[in-house]
Amino acid sequence: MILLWGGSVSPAVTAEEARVQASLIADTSAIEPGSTFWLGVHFEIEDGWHIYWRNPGDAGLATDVRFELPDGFVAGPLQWPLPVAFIQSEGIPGYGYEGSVVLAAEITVPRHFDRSKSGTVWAEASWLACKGVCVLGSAELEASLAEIDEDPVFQTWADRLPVASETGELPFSLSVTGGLSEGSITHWLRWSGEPGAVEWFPNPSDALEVGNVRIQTRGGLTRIDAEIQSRKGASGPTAELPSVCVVTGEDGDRRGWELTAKLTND
Amino acid sequence: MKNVMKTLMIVMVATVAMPAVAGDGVSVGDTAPAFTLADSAGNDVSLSDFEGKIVVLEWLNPDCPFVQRHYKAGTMKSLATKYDGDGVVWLTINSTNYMDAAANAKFKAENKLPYTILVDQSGDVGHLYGAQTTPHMYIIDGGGTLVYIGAIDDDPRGNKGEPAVNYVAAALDEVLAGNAVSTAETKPYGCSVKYKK
Repeated sequence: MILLWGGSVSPAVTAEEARVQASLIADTSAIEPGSTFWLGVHFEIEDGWHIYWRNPGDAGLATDVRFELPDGFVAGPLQWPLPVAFIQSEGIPGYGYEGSVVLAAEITVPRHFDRSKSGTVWAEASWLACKGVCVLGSAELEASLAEIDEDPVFQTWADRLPVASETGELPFSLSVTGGLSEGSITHWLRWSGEPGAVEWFPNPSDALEVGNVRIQTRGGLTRIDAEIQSRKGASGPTAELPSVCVVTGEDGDRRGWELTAKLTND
Repeated sequence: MKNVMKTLMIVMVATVAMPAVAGDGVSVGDTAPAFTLADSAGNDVSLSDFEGKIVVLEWLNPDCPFVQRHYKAGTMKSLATKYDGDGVVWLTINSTNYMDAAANAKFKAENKLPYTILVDQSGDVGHLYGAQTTPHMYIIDGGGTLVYIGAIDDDPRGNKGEPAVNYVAAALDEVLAGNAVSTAETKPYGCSVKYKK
């Protein structure tokens, strides 16, 4: 893996002060024709700083990763590990990552891929890093397919992803009340026992505004209340509210599930 | 059990009856709340000084890279200058807890700004309006009603590679033409406002 260029683009900060190091990593050392593999950007974040989830919260900027691949290679959607919540400033919630995170996509290798000819993959990453003050950063990363190595980070990476909503595998029964016409929405989660600490990360489109999130768990029932409204004239889908529910068990393990709530009665 | 259900119902009603999202702050259609702040030269400025005029409020933090990008590009200055001829008032508010009048005066002088910077170190006016980001933009029409709240444009990263849609310019054009603002609310982007703890 080669780090071509990385650092801050903010004029006030020099490259030596970069708060985030980005590198291009993969989960395999052998790219086989017709196979799939994971390609990602590993962000290593200085202590006390954070970068942002796909929904940054009420301020901030989503981290961005774009791949450029040889002909015939196809990248799936970027996968976002479970975020953490932080208060950015008086009462302004934020969602993101501290320490380190890998944002990766599944890459499909074309059947006619000729390993002897190899090829190069690129990733362009950009992020906003904050710790009281904020610094914009970006990196252009490049790796030769012939020299790609399996990165051990991927051995535990998939454990940090939310379970996709399409799988329907939820450890609780879910019902949702309210919607856009009510101005509020409530997710009711009934667990088989007491769940541990519950967190909720809404991921609304830019045309929706979600705020004042309150979570209460009593015994085996969790209710998650939030206010919701559409932004007048803003473009974006308003029929659904995707979110991620995260539970931290007694052992400190965090597990998460993607939820999709319908916001209209149609 | 009956009691529990009753409590639950009351809680739900209370939830539904709550006002706009995000606790404090204002929504499009609200009357813009009155405020008075000292500017960077120490003179008191009140919103009511501009009764009958269209007023743009811009939340500022010179240390925020999003703000720096727009000031380097001259986004705010050129908009303020362009619409000054139409009688539009531009008020920039700095709710950054550590920036006093002198810091704001320095920024105004360095950037040769034609408009006033109001000093809101307490964050009171920022909270009154629910300002979350720098920049965060508000437009008040001649009748004192909020007609736009949100981002300055549709290009948070500044790398769209095509002309960005400036929401504030679009809304001002509509207001000046006597029309309703079509894109009245957008998701603001930028650094969080660095409010006093």
